[in-house]
Amino acid sequence: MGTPLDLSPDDYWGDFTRTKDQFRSFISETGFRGVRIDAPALVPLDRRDSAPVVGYYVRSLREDVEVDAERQMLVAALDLATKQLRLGLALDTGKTPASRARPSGADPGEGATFNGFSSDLRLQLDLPWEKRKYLIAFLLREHVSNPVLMELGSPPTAYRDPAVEAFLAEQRKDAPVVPPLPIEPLPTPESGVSFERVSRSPEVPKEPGIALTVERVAVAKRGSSCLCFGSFRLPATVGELVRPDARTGQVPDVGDANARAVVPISLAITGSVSPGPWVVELRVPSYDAVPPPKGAPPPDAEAGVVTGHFALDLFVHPDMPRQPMTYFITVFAGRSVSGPFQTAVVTEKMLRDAGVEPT
Amino acid sequence: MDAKGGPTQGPVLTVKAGAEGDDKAKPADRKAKKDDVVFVRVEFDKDNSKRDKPKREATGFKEEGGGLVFTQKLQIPKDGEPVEFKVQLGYAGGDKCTIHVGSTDKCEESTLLVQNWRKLHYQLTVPKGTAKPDMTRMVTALKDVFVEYEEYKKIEVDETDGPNLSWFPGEWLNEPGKKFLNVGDHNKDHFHAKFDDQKTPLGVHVMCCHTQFDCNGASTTKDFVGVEVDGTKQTPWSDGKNHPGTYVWVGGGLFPKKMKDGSSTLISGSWKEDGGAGTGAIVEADLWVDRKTNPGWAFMKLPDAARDLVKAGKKVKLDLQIYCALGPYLGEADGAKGWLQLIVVKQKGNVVNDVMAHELGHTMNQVTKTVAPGLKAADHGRMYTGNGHMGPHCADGMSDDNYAKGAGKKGTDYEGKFAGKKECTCIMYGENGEGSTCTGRFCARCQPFIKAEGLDSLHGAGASATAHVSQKTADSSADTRAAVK
Repeated sequence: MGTPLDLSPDDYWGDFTRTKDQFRSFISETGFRGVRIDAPALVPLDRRDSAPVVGYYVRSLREDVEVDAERQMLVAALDLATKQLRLGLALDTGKTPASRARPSGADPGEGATFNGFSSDLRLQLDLPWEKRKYLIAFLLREHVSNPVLMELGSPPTAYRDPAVEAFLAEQRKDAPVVPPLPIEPLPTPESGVSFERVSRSPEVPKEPGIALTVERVAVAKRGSSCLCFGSFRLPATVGELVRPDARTGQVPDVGDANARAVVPISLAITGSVSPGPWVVELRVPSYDAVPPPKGAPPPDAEAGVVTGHFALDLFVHPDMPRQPMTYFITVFAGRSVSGPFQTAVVTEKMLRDAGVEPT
Repeated sequence: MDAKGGPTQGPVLTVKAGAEGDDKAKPADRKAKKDDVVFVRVEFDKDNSKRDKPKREATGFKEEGGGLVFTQKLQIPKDGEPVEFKVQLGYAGGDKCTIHVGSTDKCEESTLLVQNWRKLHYQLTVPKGTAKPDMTRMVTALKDVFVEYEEYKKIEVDETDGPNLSWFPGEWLNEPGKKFLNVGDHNKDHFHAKFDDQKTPLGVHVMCCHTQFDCNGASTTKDFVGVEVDGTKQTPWSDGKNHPGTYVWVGGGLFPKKMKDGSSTLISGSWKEDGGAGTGAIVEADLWVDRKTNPGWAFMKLPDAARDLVKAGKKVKLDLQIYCALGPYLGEADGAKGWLQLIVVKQKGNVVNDVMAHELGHTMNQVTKTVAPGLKAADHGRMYTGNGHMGPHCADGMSDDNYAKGAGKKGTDYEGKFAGKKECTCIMYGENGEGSTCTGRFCARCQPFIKAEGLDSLHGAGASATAHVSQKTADSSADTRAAVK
C-alpha cells in the first residue's frame, strides 16, 4: 500500500472505500483491531475547502455493542510549528440526536465488524485555513490510530519566487530570537514535578518518541497520587532551543538556567466511560547541548535531537480528570505519537465495596 | 413617525417632528413656520444590551450622560415642513429608546418610546396530513428575546413526493397501514428545494419530517468479518422458532430494506467453513430484521449447507455487509446553511416545539458560537462543548461546582459528562428529547447573547448589508409631532 489505505489524492474527497476489499483482506489476514486512518499529504488551500481524514474502525462484535464511535471517537491534530494540540470529537455531526435503541445484553460471539468514516478536520477542530502542518491521530478508548501527516499549503505547481524566499531568510537573520515558552509545570516540592532521571524513569527510547510509565491504578482521595514518569528522545526545533539573543547576548529565562531546550509534550486523555477529551500540556527541559543553528533557519526547522525525563503527579495537575474509570493517555510530541498508556482511577467507595478499608 | 415613505425596518429610525396636526393638514394650512425651533432629547435605557456596535445615538446630536442621552435644537427648514433626524437604535432586541420633543429645552410636548424587535420568517413544509406543530412554547421563548417568528408560507408534501423510499412503510415503526416521511442527508436537497425564499436573508425553511435518518456516507455500510457460528449458536426467527445462525448488532438505522432507496439491507454475504472447503452465499432471505422487539439487531439464519456443517460439529464463519442508516436524529440546522432546518415531528409532548427552538437557537449563533460586539463569551458562564453532546450548548441550572468551567467537577459523574443532567433546563441544553426537564425557554444566561445578535441575516455571515431589524413602538398612540409655537 502506498498510503495507509492505498488511496490516491482525489479519493479523500471522493470514494475512499474504493480500496475496502484490500482492507478487509488485511483484517482477515492479520486480525487487526483498532482504528486505521489515511489523509491527503497535501491539502491545496486554494483548491479544496475541507481537510478530510478517512478511515476504518475495526472492533470485536462485543466491543461494538458497547462503543458508540460517533460520540466517543476523538481526533487529535498537533500543529508541528506551534506544537499546539487540537483535540475534539471526530464524528460530531452537530445534529440533535434522538434517544437510541440500546443493544440488549445478548452476546454476539466471536467476530469483527468495521465501518468507514470521514472526518473534516477543518470543521471538527476549527482548523485555521492557512499554511500549517499537522500530525494527526484518532483516539477511541484503548485504540490509537496510526499517525498521519497532513499539510495545508500551496500545491507543488504553485509559482515560487526564490527572491522572496531569500529575502525572508535574510530578514530572519536580523530578527530577535524568540525564546521558547517557559517550563511548565515548574518543579516545586508541592507539584511533585521533576525533570531529572529517577529510579522509576523508563529508558530513553532508542528512536524518536516517548516512553511513559504511569500508575496503573490510583485511588482518588485527598493526599493520594497518580505518578507518571516519562523519558523522551525528540527532535527539537530551532524555536525550542534556549539560546542567547545574538544582539544582546542575553539568555532567556525559561525557569531553569541549565535547560538547553524546552520541548512541548501533550498528553491527550480519553476514558472508558466518557470520552472527555482532556489535555495535559507539559513543557519539559532537555539539558542536552545542541549545536547552534547555522544561518537563519525558520523556528520550526529541526535543530537536533534531544533527550530528557519528566516525572509528575497527575493528580496535582489541574487538567487531569479524576472521575472513576480507566483513562487512556496518548502522548504527542515532536513528530511522534506514543501510547495509549493506561491508568485507572478508583474511589474509596470502590475500595469499601471490595471489602478494603481505605487507609 | 412617518413610516409610509420609506423602509419600515432597520436599526436607523428616521423621525419627523412638526406642528401638531400638520401631518394631516393641507400645505397651506400647516402651522410650522421656517426657523421655528424644535428641541429634541433622545434617551437610551440604561439597561439596554451591552452590544456596542453600531453605537446607539441620535445622528449629529450633542451627547450627554455617558452615551445615554442625546440632545439637539433643530429648526423647521421650510414653512409647513417638519424637522427630520435619525436615531441609530442598534440591533439588540429589547433595547429601549425614548424620544422627547418640545418647543422648549424641557422637551415636554411629546414622547415616543421605541423598543427593538427582530422579525424572522419561516416557510413551514409538512408531510401531508400532518398538523402544524404546536409552537406556543417556542413563540413565548422567542418573545423573551424580542424575536417575532412569522410564518409566511405553508406547503405540504404528499406520499408521491421525494426520491425513492423517502416515504417508508409504517410497519417499520410498528404502525402498519401508514406511511412516514424520512428526510436525511440523502434526500434533504430535494425537500429544501421546496423552500420559496421570499424573505431572504431572514427566511428559515422548517422542513418537518417523521424521522431523520442520514443515508449517505461510508459509515452507512457495516462490514462483519469472521462472525463465528457453531452448533450451539441459535438465532430467533420470524416464525417464532430458533434456528442455527447468529445475530449481530447493526444499529438504530437498520430496517428491513435500505432506508436510502428500498433495496436490500443485506449488501453482500458469504459463509465459509472454518478449516474446511465449504462455502456459500448468504442472501436476503437469510436476514431477519425485527423492528418490533429487537430494533438494531440483524438475525442471520444459516443456509442449509452451512446448517448441516454446524450440526455435524463444524464451525462456519460469516462475512457480511449490512446497510444501516445513521441516526435517528431529532433535527438539525444544516451546518453553514443554518436556515435550512429539519424538524422531526413524530415526537411526544413538547419535544417538537423545543427542538425547533433549539435549532433556531443554533441558527442564531448560540451558544456563543459568535458573540456580538461589546459582549464576552465568558460572561455566559455555562457554555460547554462536547461533554457527551455535540456542538456548543448551555448548562444553565448546573452549580458552579459541578460546571467547573465547562469541564465538569473532578471525580464526579459531571467530569466530561453533561448528559442526563436534569437541573439543566435551558432550550440550548444539549438534549431535549422525551423526558427532558427543558422549560421551553432560553435561560437568563443565553438571553443577553440572543438579544444582542444582529439577526440582520440568517443566510451566512455578512450576507447582506441591509438591516432588517424592526421596531415596535411601545407607545404607538403617542403623537410624535411636537407642537411648534
